[in-house]
Amino acid sequence: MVSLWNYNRHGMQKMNKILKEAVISVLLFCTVFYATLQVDWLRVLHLTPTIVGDKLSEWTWEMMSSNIKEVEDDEVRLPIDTLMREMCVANGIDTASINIVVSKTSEVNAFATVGKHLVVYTGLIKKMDNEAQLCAVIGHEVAHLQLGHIQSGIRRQALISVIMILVSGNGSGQLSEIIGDMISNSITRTKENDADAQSARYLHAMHLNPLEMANALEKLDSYGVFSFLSDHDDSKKRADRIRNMNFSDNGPYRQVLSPGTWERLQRSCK
Amino acid sequence: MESYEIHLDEPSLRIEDAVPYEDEKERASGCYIMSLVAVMIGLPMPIINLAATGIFYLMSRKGTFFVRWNSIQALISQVPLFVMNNILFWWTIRILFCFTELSSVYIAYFITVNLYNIYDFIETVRSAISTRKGKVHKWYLYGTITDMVCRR
Ligand SMILES: [Zn+2]
Repeated sequence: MVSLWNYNRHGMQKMNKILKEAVISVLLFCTVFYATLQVDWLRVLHLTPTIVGDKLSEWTWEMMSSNIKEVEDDEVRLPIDTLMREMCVANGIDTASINIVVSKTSEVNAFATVGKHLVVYTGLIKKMDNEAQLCAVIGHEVAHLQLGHIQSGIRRQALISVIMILVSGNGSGQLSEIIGDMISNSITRTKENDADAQSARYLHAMHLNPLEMANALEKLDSYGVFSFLSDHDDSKKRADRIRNMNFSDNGPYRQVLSPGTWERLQRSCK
Repeated sequence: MESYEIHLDEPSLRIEDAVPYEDEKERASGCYIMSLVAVMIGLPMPIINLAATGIFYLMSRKGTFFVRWNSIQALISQVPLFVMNNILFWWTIRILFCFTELSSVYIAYFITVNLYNIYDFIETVRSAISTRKGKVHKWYLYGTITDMVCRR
């Protein structure tokens, strides 16, 4: 009986020793962690919280921009910049947050991509009836950027990039197109509708006719500009959704570009 | 063989008093060499820590007291390492895949875990050397736990 009690007491002492040492170990760990927490490492090491995403965006943009033939012509660049600036100012968007590039490509297309880049093809500019329709398309892509739709695509892209590097040893070449498609496909129908509505609101704030958004949707129906999942039925529904939106009356619609400027822009895109 | 048995059955044998044979020293030291590899690879790949733990567990089930004691200490030392490295690993993955942003807290944790890995590395080297010489190097806390867990 006594020996059993002795044994238990001995066990208890061991247990206490373990507990004591465990507490000291944990405390030591916490102290070291707490001490390292006192330093603002990001500032000391000159890092930014979004460094990984930024680098990825930069990298993708470099891959993608090899397919883009940027238009340097002022007849094209100035009016596009003017429209972009007007849209940003009217809607309180930071102008520096978007970089718009016109590419000399006959394809009818426009897209937003990772980072802050927005690409418009000359083929699309040529196709538009008026500046409001062009703004509608640009606005749709701006909305994707502003609503964070592209940013969520970056995750998928990071994953793909890592797999690409692991498989092929490098991440360049035709892969950029696959990546571009992947990002586009990750934009869902709901997001498309949100971007449509947002773009119409942008037009309204610019004192342009928001219903041109609906016209643009119908006009580009057969080109698949607004969505990679587009089918004809879908475009009609999306246009109707815009027409059913309520916009307050905010005076007569205005003309941002002079008719001459618009004409020269269109002619330069031929 | 006869003296071997008697040697093991000594009732009040503590690990400090154990007098290992040459092959025991080798096996116990081998444990820490393996542990050393796990510590080095475990930081980027914590699954290695888990694998090492499994191997040490299997080793601790057979073998002499000296070998068992050391393999259990090596096992216990891998457990906190596995937990910490695992957290760091998934945190890193989340940052690399843009699910979360880089922060000073992450860097602080990174440094702390690295310091712990270095401590573990040094202790493992010391253990490997002293077991090779037939002595036992008791780690703080882990040695105490091993004493309690590992019976003759
Ligand atoms: Zn879209």
